Amino acid sequence: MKEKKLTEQIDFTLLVSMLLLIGFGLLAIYSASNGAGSMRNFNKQLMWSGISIAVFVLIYFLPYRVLQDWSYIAYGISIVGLVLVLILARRIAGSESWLEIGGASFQPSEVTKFTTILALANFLSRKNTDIKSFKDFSIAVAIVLLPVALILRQPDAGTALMYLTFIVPMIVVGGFDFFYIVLLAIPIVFALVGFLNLSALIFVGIAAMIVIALFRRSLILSTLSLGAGAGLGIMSSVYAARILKPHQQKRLATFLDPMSDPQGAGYNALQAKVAIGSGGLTGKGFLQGTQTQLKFIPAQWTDFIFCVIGEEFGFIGCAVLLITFLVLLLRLTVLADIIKNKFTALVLAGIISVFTGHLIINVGMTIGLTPVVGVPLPFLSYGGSSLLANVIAVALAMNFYRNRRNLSF
Amino acid sequence: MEFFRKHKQERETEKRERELNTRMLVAVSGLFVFAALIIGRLLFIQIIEAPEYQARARKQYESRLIVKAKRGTLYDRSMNRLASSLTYVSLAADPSMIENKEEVAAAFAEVFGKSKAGYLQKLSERTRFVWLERRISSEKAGIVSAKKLSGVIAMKEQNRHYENLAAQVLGFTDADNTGISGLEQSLNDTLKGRDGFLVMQRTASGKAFPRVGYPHQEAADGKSAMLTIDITVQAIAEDELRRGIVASGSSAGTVIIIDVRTGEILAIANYPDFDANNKLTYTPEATRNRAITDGFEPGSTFKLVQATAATELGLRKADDKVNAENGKFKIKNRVITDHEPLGTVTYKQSIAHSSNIVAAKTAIIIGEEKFYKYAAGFGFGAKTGIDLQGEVRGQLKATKEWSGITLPWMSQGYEVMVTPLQVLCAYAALANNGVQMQPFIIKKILSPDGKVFAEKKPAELRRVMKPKTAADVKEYFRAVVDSGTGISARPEGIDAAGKTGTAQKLVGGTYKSGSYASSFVGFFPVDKPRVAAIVMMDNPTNGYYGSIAAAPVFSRIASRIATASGEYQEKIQAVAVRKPSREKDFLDSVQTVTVPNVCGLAAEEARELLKVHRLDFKRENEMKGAVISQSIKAGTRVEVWSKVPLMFEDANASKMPSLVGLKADRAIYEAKQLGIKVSMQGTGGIVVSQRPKAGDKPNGDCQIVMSN
Repeated sequence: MKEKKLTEQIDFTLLVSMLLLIGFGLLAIYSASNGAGSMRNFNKQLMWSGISIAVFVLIYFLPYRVLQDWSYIAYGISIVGLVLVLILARRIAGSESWLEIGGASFQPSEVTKFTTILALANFLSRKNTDIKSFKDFSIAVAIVLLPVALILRQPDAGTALMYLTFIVPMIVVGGFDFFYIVLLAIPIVFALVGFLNLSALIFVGIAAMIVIALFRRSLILSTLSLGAGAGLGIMSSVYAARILKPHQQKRLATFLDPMSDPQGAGYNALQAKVAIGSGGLTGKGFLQGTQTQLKFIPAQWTDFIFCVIGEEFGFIGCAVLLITFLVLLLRLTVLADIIKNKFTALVLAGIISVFTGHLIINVGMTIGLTPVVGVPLPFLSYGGSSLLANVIAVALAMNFYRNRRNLSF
Repeated sequence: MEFFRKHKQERETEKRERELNTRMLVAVSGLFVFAALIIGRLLFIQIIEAPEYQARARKQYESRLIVKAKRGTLYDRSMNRLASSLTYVSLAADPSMIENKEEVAAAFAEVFGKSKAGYLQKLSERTRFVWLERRISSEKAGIVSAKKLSGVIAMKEQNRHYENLAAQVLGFTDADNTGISGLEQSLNDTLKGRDGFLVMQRTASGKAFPRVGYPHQEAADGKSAMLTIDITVQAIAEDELRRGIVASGSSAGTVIIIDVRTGEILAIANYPDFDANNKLTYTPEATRNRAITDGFEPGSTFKLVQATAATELGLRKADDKVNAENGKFKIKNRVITDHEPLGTVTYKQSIAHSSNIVAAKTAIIIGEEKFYKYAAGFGFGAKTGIDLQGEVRGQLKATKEWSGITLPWMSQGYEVMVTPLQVLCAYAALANNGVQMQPFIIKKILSPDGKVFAEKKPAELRRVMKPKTAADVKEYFRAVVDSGTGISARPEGIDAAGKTGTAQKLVGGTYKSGSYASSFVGFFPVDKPRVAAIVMMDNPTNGYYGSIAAAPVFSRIASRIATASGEYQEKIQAVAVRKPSREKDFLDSVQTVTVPNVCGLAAEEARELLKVHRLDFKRENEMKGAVISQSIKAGTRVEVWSKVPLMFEDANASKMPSLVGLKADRAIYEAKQLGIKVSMQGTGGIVVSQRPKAGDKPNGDCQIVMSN
């Protein structure tokens, strides 16, 4: 292997956009900490940033082979971590997701996201894996569902939900027929829509029929899927109220109309919108956001960190942040194209899916596009485990880039 | 074959590439769709809806704090406070806004005599708001604000305190500091000033604090009013009214005192009265200013009208012989009786002895029209126009509504309704050589800086009679006091003139025997009259004649005013022919004030409040906490600048000490140090049990059980 220039070994677009995002996060956490009157969280995040960068460098220089070969071992360790959490964890905010290692709290479910991606990618990229076979499809699903089941036991539905964002793109990239995904998705989507609004089901139904028609595939399967969907949709509109817990129902209701209960369940959604909306075009200025500094925003370090950006840096700040994210995601997509290797393509697809899912759900809930789900904003939200996991993910991509010439189909 | 395989492989690779490219395209365009969705939503929220959310945010984090203007003071004629608003100031700080913490801490330590380190610690807290000192006097706040310390915020609150004199005249305020009765109500716009405001910031948890540099408007303090009331004369009037009520067994009473030359009201006392500093005592019965709101049939005091008319018209002279018919006289089948049967007497004697028969006969000679003219001339049947609210006009029927016996009965004070103030003003006109002055009570309006904003000058209302008539009639009423029914009204050491009045009260349309309104109205010194006073007693039960129930009260009031140190003592001394003895000066010069309730206040606040009431305190223990008991009960009248003994709470340890095992005297001493009263059971020497138990919260009382 001949020596290459540093500029050829490092993907600067990826690196800079990641560092920018971490910087944004530190800025916002500083502001939120200032409002709360304690710099403890900021200092902790600063320390975790250092640790993450160190781990980043370590992973970046690992031989490429190690990543793929050790993926099952990493996956296994993560699963053990999740089991340990269930046994040993201390309660934080009503759910057990933290593990204490030498005095530091750690959330294994964050890193497990990426070890699961690695394991799934490894499995799907094996020469003899046929995702179209029922056995291999079941194994692929099982690899993902095992950690999901453990996380749901904690219980942390928000994090568990994020595991589902990457399974579909990955098995599609792995060769699974997209048509079957659509067939499977229809009943789930119909059930959701049916719960929210029965008449909207008609429009969604028509849209689904058009999509299925465009595939020009098996008529029997299509009809089955649509039929099951319609049944589930109607049933959920009738029975969901009995199945869902009251607080879940309330979340859905307040998502649809946050003003309906401004002091109760809609408080978070409303306060988030007030903070972002009052920021206007240019924002109120660093440390000048009234809603942030006066602690109106719930969980302003973690899940609602985007509000701090929106309030203090305005639309311009939000746009810069989103463009940075977009650059990062697009660059990851381009990398998948550049590196002609099935394993890396699968891993990158997973990483992109996880980042995109977090971004859309997190930002979406602060601006009223999605219901309030406890999901962090990658690189920005306070939380060492989450930051470390995300940095590791980018480190993997950088490692692939460094080794791109040694990788091939 | 080889070619085909290779070709096929190439084709497959191409196909795969195409598929991958399509997927990439789908993925990337999906990303852009989501990004566009989010950006669009942000545009909507942050640009189009921004004003709405900004208003919503402002509503959440800003709250407007009204800074109450200080309500003006009500002063007596010598600038003694009758009603005043005490302002307490609390000082707070925004530590992040303080540039020099050392300086601020040092300044506070100097002013409040506490440790600098304590303040420094407060100023180092990582918060936007800390209290530095709460409820301090405005003096100390003034010292601090003069130092112009940055980041220090002053907040004011106030309480209304009353001297508890002329309570019905002053009225009172509600919890919002708005006058709802008496002068507090009628002068409300003058006294209240204009409230300012302070914009406060509020955190999500609801903690509000003012921010340095936020918009604010200073409150414009209210104007003050100086009344014509003389605090000494008022105190004498209230004191003597109360004594008179007890002595006569009356249910209610009124005393009004006026300066006859100016029309200035010197005192208005009403009984029953109330403690203006205790809202629980505000009953409608007690808060009514009977001096102007209650009409009554005056009885003999109304004989002034026939005496004046007959004298001025030349119908009667002092020495004219009149037949008093030995006490019984029939007019139109109605018998008029005199309480003291008289035969033929002089006209002057008939007035001195209050002959109803002569008064009726004289009125008939005067005639209805003339009599009515004089009665109206004195101001009966019309409001006096005094600057107090709630005055009634009484009732003086027009002559066309009179019956055959109206004139003779009206001449002795029946069939006419008057207020005590109207009667007093009639006699004041006589005393002032026949000129009636406009009675008034608001002397000056003072700006907050003390400058005179408006001033009311004495005003003549009308001449009621010629000076010569006044001089003659005055002599008739001097005779009342010198040798007639009003002897008991005679003050010590000074000449007075006046008239008793005793009227059966009209209860439910009939005159009820046993229910009387007894009064005495008079003025002094007779030769150069300065002061007139009326004493009205309602339902006296220990002798209902005005000479018994009311006249002695007048006597004592006049004596005390003439000898008490103060403006009116001098004015009376200056004009009196017979000088009151100086010997009594000392005794009567004692002024009394009401003790306010200071329980629950800190030492500093208690001193401030007592100072307003011209009192001081002495400590019964050396504790640092709030006042827990005062040895002179609130509402008690004491001499000015008396020291009220106060017991203070132990601020540090408000827990019951353990008294068990102590000797009785030691236990009582220990408890007393904490302001706890001890009641003992048993006769032994050692305490065996106590309630409340040691460590419990003390409640002021403690029961201890002694060993046998």
